[in-house]
Order: sequence, then structure tokens, then C-alpha cells
Amino acid sequence: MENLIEELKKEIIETLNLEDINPSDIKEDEPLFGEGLGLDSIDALELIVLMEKNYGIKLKDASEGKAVFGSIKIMADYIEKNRTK
Amino acid sequence: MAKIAQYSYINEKVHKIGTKDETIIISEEELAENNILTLTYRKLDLNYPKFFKMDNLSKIGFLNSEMILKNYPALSDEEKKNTSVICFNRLASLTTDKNFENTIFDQNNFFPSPSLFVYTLPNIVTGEICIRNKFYGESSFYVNEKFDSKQMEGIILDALQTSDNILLGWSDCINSQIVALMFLITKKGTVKMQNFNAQNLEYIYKKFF
Repeated sequence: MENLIEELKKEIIETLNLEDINPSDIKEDEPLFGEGLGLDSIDALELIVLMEKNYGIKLKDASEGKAVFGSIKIMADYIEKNRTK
Repeated sequence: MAKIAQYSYINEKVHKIGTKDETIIISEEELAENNILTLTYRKLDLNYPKFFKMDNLSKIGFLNSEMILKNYPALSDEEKKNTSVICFNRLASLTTDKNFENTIFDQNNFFPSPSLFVYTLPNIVTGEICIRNKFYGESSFYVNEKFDSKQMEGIILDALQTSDNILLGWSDCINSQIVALMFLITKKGTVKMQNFNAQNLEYIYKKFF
């Protein structure tokens, strides 16, 4: 799980072009949206694509993302349980 | 008579950026570490993380507008309401269009990128500048074969009927070399400023490119 969290942090930084953010800046329990990282709705769509491309997870309902992206820890937990690759 | 209050440029080929008053030469050592757009962002000491999410066309327009506005007295809220952003280029959003196409080209690796898709229109750059500065005037983008100062003059004179200030931009990427110029045109200029007309636009363009 720890490895997956670190992997996800790096993928998020790279995919969302978070130039001035380091993996250590992303706290495991902090919300990914609304504060801190300053992510927007396009970033949410990019994360949905990232989950499908890298882990074979297709979110059936876009609103499901709101819960899944609650924090990096929640996201990693969801991926661990649902990944197909 | 409208005046050219300030201008800024980015010329990647000769590693220069600057304004009417100042030229900054980017060294080979700096360019080995970063591209000219990121280096300009750092040199301007900006804090706008959204910059890194923009495509190159928007980054170019954004940086030129920042260089101009840093070198011009701050616009009041009232002035911002009447400030327009009008840009021109030759290749529209072609580079981003191609990058987006690469995400949908292979049916077995079909993952359309939302963040690339939003920049597959060149006029996004004028929107980015308006959002950043809270400009509420005209926002438009024209695609032309070349830097046509006569046509620019006509369009800007029309826009000056309803705007007090206009950021007029030209940006292109030829063989991956950025050629970008932006002017601040104002109705409230001083006698020391150059007159706004096609000849002066052409003269300044040829001075840098």
C-alpha cells in the first residue's frame, strides 16, 4: 500500500503538471480537491483517465470520483481493491 | 490618436526576451536546464501554478502579458473593464491538436486527454489572460498566414471604439522556435509613446524577428 501511495503521488504530479509540488507535499489524508493542490475539474477528468490507463479501472459514474479522490490514501485503497492491471 | 504604450517579446532563436525598455539574454547554460518559457516564468518571479498546465501557445501569451503589465502602471478596476485582448498567429493550436491526436490515434491505447483537449482552440490564450487580469473587454483570436500589420491596425482601430486598452499579440512556433510579440495599445497615451499604426507595428516586429 505504501508503495502504491508513493507511485500515485509521482503519477499525479507528472500527469497534472504540478511543477512546484514534491511527493512529500501531498499528505495522505488531505483532500486532493478544494484546497492544497489547487486541482480543478479538468484535473479530475485526467485522474479518471489515469485510473483507467494505468490500473484498468473504469469509473461507471463520474460522480463516484468525488469519493474516490477524497485523499491519496482513499484513492490508493480503491485502486488496490479494483485494479485489473 | 492611440499609442503603443509598451511591448514585450520572446525570441527563442536568439535566446532573448524583453520589453520596450529591457532585453534579457538567456544563456545556453540556463537553456540546458529548462525551456525558455519556464525560464521566463522563473525570471519574472511569478506565482501562478496554472501556468504549468497551459499549452505553449497560452504560456507564450500569458508571459508576454505579464512582462507588459509588470512594466506599466497598474490598471484600475474601471480600466480593466475596458481592456481587451486580441491575438493573432499563423498555426492556430496545431501543436496541441497534434498532441491530442496522439492520445486517440491508437485504438488499443485510446485515452483522450482532457487537459490537452481544452487547449485545442487557439483563443484559449486570450481567455487565460482575461481570467488572470479580470479583463472584461473584447477577447478574440485571428489566424492569419503572416504578421499582417495593416489588418491588425484595422481590427484594433475597430476594437478601440469600445476599449480603452488592448493587448495585441502575435505568437507563432516555427520549427519549434517561438516567435512572440505583444503590444499594449492605449487611448490614454503620452506624446512620448509611439503612435499606434501599421508602420510602427511592422517596424517593431522587424526589429526583433
